[in-house]
Amino acid sequence: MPARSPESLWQRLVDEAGDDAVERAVVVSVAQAEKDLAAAGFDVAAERARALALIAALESPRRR
Amino acid sequence: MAAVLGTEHLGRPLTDEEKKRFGALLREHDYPGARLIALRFAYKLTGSHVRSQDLMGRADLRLVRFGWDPARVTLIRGLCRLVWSEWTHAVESNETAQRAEEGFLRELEATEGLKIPSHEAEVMALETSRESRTKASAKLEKLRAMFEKAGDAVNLLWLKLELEGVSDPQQMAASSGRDVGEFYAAAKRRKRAVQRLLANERGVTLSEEES
Repeated sequence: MPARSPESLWQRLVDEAGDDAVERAVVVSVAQAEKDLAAAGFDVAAERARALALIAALESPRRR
Repeated sequence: MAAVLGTEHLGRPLTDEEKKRFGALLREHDYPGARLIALRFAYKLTGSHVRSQDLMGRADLRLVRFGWDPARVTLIRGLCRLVWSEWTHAVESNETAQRAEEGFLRELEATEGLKIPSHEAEVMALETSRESRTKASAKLEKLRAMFEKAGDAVNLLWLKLELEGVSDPQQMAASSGRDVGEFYAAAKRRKRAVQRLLANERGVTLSEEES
């Protein structure tokens, strides 16, 4: 049975840990995320504005 | 609405039509809301306003570079995966940038007629490979120490058997005389241990809720 390399084992561990962390992160509702971010001192309206700015940048035609 | 390919796949900037479609897709899937959930995740990982916003900004860039297929992954999950990926690569990125810079300098040397001997190039590749193996081994040693400290005999055994090439829990159970259920139960503890280890390396202590 071929031994596994430390690199591939470590990468697999990181991937599995990531899947677990992401699964726990995605179950939160938008309302809860807003509440938690506000409690942590984030300007939620400004964060929403950042997201809308990215959409606006995508939707606006390139200057020629 | 169909998938949008990113600039990385296309090998060129998005056309106005593609950009417009990408924007409409993000709007349709409540990108501002999904981004808040991903930002909350980034904050849990970094414990810092500045670093979480930087992480989120890099995840945004990667979304545009790699595109998104709503049929394969939800926007929330896709953004959180990008956040995780950026976070786990943050420490290595400085070293990667340094290596890229060294490569660029060597290329300049080559164009100036200072050709690098092939033996030296081979030695450099070997060193990079050794370095990567050494780093992974060091991380696995840290993980082993965490399991030892926690008295987690099953994960200590799992680590040993995995390095020997045994990956099947049934085989692990058969060779150790333990119940296979113990190996399945150990997986959760192992994932949380890796999360704590990664966080510690980045100067963050995860809360009980997060680990």
